[in-house]
Amino acid sequence: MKISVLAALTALSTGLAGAASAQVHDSSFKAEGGQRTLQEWVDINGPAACVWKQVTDEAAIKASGMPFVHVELKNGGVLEEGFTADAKPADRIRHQIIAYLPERLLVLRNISTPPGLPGADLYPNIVQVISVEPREGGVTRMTISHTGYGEGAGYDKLYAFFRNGNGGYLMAAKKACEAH
Amino acid sequence: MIALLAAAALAAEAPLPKGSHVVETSFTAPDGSRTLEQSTIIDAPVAVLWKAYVEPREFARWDAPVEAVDLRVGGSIEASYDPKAKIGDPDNIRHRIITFLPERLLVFQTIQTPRTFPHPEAFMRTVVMVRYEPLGPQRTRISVDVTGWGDGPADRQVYSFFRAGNASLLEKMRSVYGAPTKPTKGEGQ
Repeated sequence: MKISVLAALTALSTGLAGAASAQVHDSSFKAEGGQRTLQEWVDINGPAACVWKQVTDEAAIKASGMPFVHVELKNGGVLEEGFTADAKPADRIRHQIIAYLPERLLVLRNISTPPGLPGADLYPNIVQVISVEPREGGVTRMTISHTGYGEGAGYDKLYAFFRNGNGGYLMAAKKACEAH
Repeated sequence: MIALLAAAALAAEAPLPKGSHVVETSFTAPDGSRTLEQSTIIDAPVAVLWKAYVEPREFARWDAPVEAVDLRVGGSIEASYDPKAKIGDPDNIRHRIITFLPERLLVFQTIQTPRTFPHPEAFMRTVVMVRYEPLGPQRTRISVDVTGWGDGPADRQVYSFFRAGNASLLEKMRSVYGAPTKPTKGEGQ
């Protein structure tokens, strides 16, 4: 997931990953064809509109602590982030927006990451689906699905990285929306 | 969806046929592109309706008689309404599978249309999402979103074509899988 490319490390160091483990649910699976899907979700006491903003709204993403954010929300658009306000293109995370349904679904594919991501060369093979699903009682379920993991050490490293990181990202969205 | 030769161009905003079970919730996205969104509820388990799409033998029951599916991220769906067509024919319909979540979501983009199809470039810019929502053990909402339509004449023409065609296919799927079945011998009501 976008922020979690490096935020995973931050989350681990601040103990967020520990808190996340109690509330983030892992529903990962292996599809019939053998590809793995890393899938995690969290229930958020807040409206879908708020959750959607945490993913697509520049101001909301900046408020979560990301100094550089650029979102061009359209099919073929980009979602780009940097960990400093003046991050150079090579130090930014860039995702192509493949398609979206406002406040419900966002489909992304990574274009580039900052140096240091384990298995980075395989990351563009992964397609991310972020779903936002209103449920009863004012709860919104946010799910991140990383689809298309193959077999091998490179994929295993990438999978492990995001297995740690996406929970922190989900919890950050939960915290932001439940604070409103 | 996959409807390609269903009907001649129809008026874009004409109502769906009277008695239709298809709900239309199409919209213009914040970026100005349009999404053709239609759904229907079918009294069938989600697993059955998922197979209806990704298993050729089931697909032939409600859509095209020829289908091959390579179900994986980066895989493909190829189909033809010509029962004599062979996989690989240049007039087949081919979609690239962008991603999928079994029994929940199928996302694809068309990469080949029959050569007679008007304005293929307009359609190939769109991305299709087929969504499955279980409403109970025997009841499922299936939604089809065709996203990324522009506003030019070609887009409007092809949009109209799929608006009618996709609604027709959803009705067909509903009639095939949602119709009451007769109990077989030894099976109580």
